[in-house]
Amino acid sequence: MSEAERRNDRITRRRFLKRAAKSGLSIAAAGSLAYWLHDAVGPSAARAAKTTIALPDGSIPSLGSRMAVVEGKNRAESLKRGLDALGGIQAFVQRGDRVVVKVNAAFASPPMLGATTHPELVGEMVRLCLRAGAVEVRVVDNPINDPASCFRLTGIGEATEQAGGKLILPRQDFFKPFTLAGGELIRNWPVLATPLDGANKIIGLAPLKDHHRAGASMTMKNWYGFLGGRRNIFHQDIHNTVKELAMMVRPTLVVLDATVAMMTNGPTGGSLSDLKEIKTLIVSTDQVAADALGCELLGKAIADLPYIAKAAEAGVGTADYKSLNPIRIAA
Amino acid sequence: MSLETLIGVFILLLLCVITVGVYLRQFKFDEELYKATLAQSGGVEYGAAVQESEGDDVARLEIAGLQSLGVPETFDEETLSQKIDGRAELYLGCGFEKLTTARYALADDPGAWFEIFVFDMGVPRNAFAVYSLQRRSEATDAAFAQFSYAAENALFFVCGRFYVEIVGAQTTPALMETMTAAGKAFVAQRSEEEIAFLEVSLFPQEFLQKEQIRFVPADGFGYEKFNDVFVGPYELPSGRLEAFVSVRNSSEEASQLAQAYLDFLIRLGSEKIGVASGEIADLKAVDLLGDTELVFTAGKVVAGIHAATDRAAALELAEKLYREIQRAAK
Repeated sequence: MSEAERRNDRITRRRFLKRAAKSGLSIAAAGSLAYWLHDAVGPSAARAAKTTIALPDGSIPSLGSRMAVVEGKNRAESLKRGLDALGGIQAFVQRGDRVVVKVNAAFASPPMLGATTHPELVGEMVRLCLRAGAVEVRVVDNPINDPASCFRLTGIGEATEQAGGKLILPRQDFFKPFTLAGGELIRNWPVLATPLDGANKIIGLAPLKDHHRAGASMTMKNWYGFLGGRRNIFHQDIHNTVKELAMMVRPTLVVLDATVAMMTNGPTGGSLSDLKEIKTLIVSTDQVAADALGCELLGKAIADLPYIAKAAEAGVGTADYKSLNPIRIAA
Repeated sequence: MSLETLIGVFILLLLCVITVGVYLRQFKFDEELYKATLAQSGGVEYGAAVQESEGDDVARLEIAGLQSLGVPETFDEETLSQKIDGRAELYLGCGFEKLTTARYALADDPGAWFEIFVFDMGVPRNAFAVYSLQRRSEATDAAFAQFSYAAENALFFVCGRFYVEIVGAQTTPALMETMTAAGKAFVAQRSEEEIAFLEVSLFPQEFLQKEQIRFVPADGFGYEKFNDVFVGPYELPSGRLEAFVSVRNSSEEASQLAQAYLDFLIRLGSEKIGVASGEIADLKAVDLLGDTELVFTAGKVVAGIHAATDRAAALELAEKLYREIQRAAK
């Protein structure tokens, strides 16, 4: 490099200050942009609330709270008698309705072990709904075990299809974030929502079972099968969870099957000796009342199942099932 | 263009690329952090169950006339509740390590199927704990394992560190015979030595309901510090009693635990009562709502009688228990 070139290459103070200013401005601009985009808090509840979906209300307020208690061994027959006592299936399902039947298909367990909804009950409910004029009856659950195995081995899948219903296996894209109004636990949580799209009637079919954690698994806890995600976390506060589930779902009708109940080692059981033939089917528009009677049939006190009182206090129903003047029938 | 300019331009371009990348990536946040995870579905990978590895054949059955129904599944501490839901707590509290399950059916009758659950509990004591804590009262001895019983549709047994359930979908003789053969094959393959619990040998034999002895690894009688307790039920002519035994690391630990347990009972509302024994020097007794609790130590052993309605029978059994402990100590 020549002397002249070297002299020209030497930076002057002015040039240095100019360059430093430009660099500083660039750094400041980049830093400001990053600061403007930075979100230290993350998605807010308000933002989450905007993305939550609404679940259909299947309840029929004009029917009020009513209950039928049927004694019998044949589930299909008991169901028909119970519904007839409350006005017939047509009081609950009308022509053009889209019905969702929420079953308990939690485990890949044979029907005789009483861990899941009995297929005879599922089949009969689907048939009755279709006969009443429903355009579609969807049978749904988000099982704990592999869904395909659960619906096959419990017999629920076959019973549904033979009766003309539509079995809905859960898929990842069926779950949408849901926040329960007034809820403290079910907030921005994935819920099995797509099968409920367009439905206007919701029917819960639950077996009566002892439950190691919750004390019992009945109609309110049946809605647990609408939850997705890592729902095990709710076990840490199971009684408030069941209360919120009952607030979340407003069913048309619930059926608590105590024809053969799981008295011990629930919720999975495994031995026929865990079961007891109680020969009772409870049909009710009040899920709290149904569970209160179920609690009695299990030989437990209401105090043993705090979620019943919590749900009653939340206005979901009444724990005093006797106040409904249940209609008792022998099938 | 000078080299410095080129380097500068390159760095600026790189920064632009990074900026765009960060801008796009930050919209795909980890939902797990905001409790909005979505369930997976389909096949044996549902619920993130761990597939059986090549070397893990604990639930594999090689029996003539059986057909396998799918691939075995394994579950660890994190995923156990995805198989057995609320009952997972019982196992997790007893040292659970792994569950392997598999389904099989009769080759000539696919509707006659069963599922085998192999719980690896780590050590035989833990396997015995979950076995004994769930033992059905209406059961018959299955007789092919030291600890085993049969229900109308299922078999339950302990084999070394494994607690095994074989649960049938039917109660047909053919299926039960096959399940029994499966259970025997499982035990035969492992050649486990007979399990001997020192504590069990301390219980007086007369009127003891041996098949109902249970091992409580934690929270014995509701007290969080009362762990490793064996409980032996007795059907006496005068009624039912339960004796308990726990071997500690030292006599000092035994004394401290005995006193702590008594203090716990008193906090619950028990009242100290005087029960004189000519044999047991440090026998303590409390009354809780009409039930008598007797507690004593003998060397490293904490023992006693739990919730007895017949105080005289309880004292008699306690003294027999004390004598057995003394005899074993010699």
